[in-house]
Amino acid sequence: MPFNILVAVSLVYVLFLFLVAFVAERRAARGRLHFLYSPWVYTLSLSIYCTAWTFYGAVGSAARSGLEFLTIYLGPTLVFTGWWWVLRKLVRIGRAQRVTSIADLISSRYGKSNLLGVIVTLMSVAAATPYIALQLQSVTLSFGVFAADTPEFWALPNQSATALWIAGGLALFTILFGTRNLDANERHHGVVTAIALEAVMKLVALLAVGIWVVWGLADGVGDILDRIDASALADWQLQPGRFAGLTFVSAAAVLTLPRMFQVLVVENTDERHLVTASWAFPGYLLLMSLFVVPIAVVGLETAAPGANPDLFVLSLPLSQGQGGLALLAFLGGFSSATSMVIVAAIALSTMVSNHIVTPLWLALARGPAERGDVRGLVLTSRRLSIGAVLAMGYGYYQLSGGSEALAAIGLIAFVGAAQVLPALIGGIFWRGATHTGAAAGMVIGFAIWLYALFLPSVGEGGLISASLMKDGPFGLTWLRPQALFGIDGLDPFLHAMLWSLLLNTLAFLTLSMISFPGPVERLQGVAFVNVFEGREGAKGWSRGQAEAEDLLSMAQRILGAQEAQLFFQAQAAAQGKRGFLPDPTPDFLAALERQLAGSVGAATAHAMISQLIGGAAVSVQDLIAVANEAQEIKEYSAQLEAQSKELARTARALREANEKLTSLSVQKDAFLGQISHELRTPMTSIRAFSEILMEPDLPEAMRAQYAEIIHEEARRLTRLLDDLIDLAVLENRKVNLNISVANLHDLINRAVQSASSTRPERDFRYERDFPTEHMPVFTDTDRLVQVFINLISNARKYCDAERAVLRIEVKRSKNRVQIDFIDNGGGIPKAQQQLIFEKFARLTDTQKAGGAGLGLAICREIMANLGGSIDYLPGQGGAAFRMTLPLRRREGEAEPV
Amino acid sequence: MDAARLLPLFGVVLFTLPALWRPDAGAHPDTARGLIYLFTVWALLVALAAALARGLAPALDAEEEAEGSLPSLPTTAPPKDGDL
Repeated sequence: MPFNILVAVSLVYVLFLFLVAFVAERRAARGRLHFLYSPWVYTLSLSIYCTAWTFYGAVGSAARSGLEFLTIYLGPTLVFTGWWWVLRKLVRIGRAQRVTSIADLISSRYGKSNLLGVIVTLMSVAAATPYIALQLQSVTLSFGVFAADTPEFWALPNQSATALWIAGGLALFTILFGTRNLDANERHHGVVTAIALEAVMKLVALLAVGIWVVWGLADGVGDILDRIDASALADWQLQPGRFAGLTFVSAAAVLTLPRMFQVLVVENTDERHLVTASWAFPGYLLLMSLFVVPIAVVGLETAAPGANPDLFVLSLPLSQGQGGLALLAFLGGFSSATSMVIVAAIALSTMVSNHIVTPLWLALARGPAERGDVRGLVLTSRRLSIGAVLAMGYGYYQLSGGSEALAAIGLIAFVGAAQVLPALIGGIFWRGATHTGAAAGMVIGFAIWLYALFLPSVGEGGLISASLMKDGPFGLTWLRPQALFGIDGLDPFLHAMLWSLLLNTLAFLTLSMISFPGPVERLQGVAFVNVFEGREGAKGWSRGQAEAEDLLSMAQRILGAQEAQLFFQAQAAAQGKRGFLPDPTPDFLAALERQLAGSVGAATAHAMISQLIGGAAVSVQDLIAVANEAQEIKEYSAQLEAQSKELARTARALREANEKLTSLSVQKDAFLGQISHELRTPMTSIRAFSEILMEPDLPEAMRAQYAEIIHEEARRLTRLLDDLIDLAVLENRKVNLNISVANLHDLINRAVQSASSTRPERDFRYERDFPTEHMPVFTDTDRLVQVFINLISNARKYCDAERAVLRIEVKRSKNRVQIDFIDNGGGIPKAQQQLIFEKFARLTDTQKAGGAGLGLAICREIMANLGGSIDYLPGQGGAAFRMTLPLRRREGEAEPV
Repeated sequence: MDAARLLPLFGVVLFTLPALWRPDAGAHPDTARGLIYLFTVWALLVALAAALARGLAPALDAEEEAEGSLPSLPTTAPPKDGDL
């Protein structure tokens, strides 16, 4: 197996992964990726549990300590077969609260406290860094196996250079495909597809090697079993403590490892996928470990003494001249390492950016008035964190010198991650668990883990001196890292696990019982523990003084303009209102907060909303409602509530309709009055001047001037009548449309030109993005231009800014186009926003406007006839109108009357 | 559903049983037997879980749909100006 072919093949494989991820992203964007939502892809993505530590290390571990390696897979098997207990609840909570990471879950449960988020984030980073280093090491070592028997020319010049290349490539992949969208709840399609592919790859590779060993090298199952009993493995003695302890820790880790939580809860799209995963994932683990012992046994028999059993999967086929098989095994190991690092980096970077960077930024840039897009900041910080996480992994690899000590790090990381377990399980099953208890438990557990397991693992004389290991700090023998409280002779791993988790749980329980939860914490506790009762999560917000408009402009900065507007529109529709601004009811605020939490984490979302609301978050009623246990017995109250909500919605719609009706009847009267007035004014002057014209001896100049005036007034009259007839025709949908195709860009140009006659003396600037405007539209182009002209002239007339600027934004979504006209003036007061589309509505006095006030009414009717709509868009810092239009108008598509 | 709750307990008991073998193991090495035993229990658990999953899937489907219908938006469109 020439080394250069190996390098070429792995490069091709990496390119292939990039391509697959890219294609998956592309297809997902077009909504054609239904297989991604299958439970099988979900199950395969869970397989990142099997890292290089499994792929290579399991064989090594079996060679050293027999069947003990199985515990690492038995633990998760138990958790998954028992999915009904914990996993189902976790996934449900994750979806209900839009949880972004395990740190977010803990922080959200304990009163949206960011302190807890920070603690969990730091613990996770500390535990995951060596683990990432381990993956880098495994890939480097496996390269080394191939390089070992090649000429000097191809020998790796420097192992750390390989590791650096790998870390860099992984960072690039993760940044490209892991930070495409801000909402951590959205799936990373490219990443998930690539990982599912790698999951298949590693299973196939390990099975292939296993089958070759059992039926190729040995004579089938019977022979292998005899060889097992004859080998050194048979001397293995089961240590009940370690066996149970390892099983427990791996069961805990499958829940609490940040990367497992990421694929298990955050990337879950459908709770039903768990049902499949409940047996398919244990099945996957079973297949992965099926051939581990045979490979270990045969490896021990054939390999040279002193060979590294961790690499038997590679070295065994290689020594027997099976180059192709070895290559397959190499790709399997490569897949295991890379998929773990990618997901771990995504999970950790989400935690770091949501719990450390964003809160810091918010604290530094005070006040909601602060402008600017938060999304860019969060995405950048996420990308930087990915780089930092991988750099730390690489740094650790360099620091530890790629030593054997790394091999033990898998278990050490498991115990570190398991420190979150008491707070996690307590949080979702026990309402009495408090913030103080959780923080104290985790900090104590983490400290013991650091002192008793992590630091000693770096090696004798590394970070902890040998004398300290032997005599304890300051000569206090009862504080020796591996024999705390004088309990000696225990396995160091078991010892650290026992003490850290025991004291962690003890502190968590005790402090939870003697401390009191805050209001938000109580509400969240109920929402988490009773997530299956079908009750909405606690509202958490009493009706605040926030203006919906302020909330919208904040949401736009985090979610993006498009998404925020859609969300607000849907919420307004649910309240039975039209337009973009729902009432800031507690329900709406809670929904908004959940939406934001999906992007920046619960604690930050809570802080941002309370900045706008002004503190008063929880009302006494809310707390009483929580405390009142009797309420839970009344099951039907939920139904009543739903009905009354429905009633309230109808009532609100009726009230709006009634208000409209009343104002319409007033308008009707006004309309008649207006019409008579508008008709009478020109009529009066026509009559007066024609009477003068009847005088016999009028000078010619005067006669011409008066005739001119009569003509002008008659034209004005005709125009008014034309507009009225036009409006009537449009309103009755009887208009004949003249459909043709045109370039939207040209149409806007035409409108800009035509409108330039309005107040031509004005300094007026247009801000346009030409490339986006080029698209064909099938519609009545004259009518469309008429609407454009109207909007532009209005801006020219009414925009009160010193240097008026009109921004025209065109956005295409599927088969509709959306055109925004936004000026930089004072905008339209909220009370008037409802009225501007009505007939004869004018905000300023008639003379100044010089029109009859029919313009926008006609615009609205035209758009309805063209199958689109026009609305006032609040919260844009000026008057803003949004038109939407189908790219291709079909007959009978006009909105029903 | 109770079966789904009990399954992991069943697994815990079976997986920890090997701990009790040690005293009577004697000189005879039985790693291979242990291996076969553990994998058999494992396969059994996977099979049982798959059978349970099949049984529970309809119930979960129903639950999922019932949930999906709660927060849906009102089907009646808000009144339009043309209505009046």
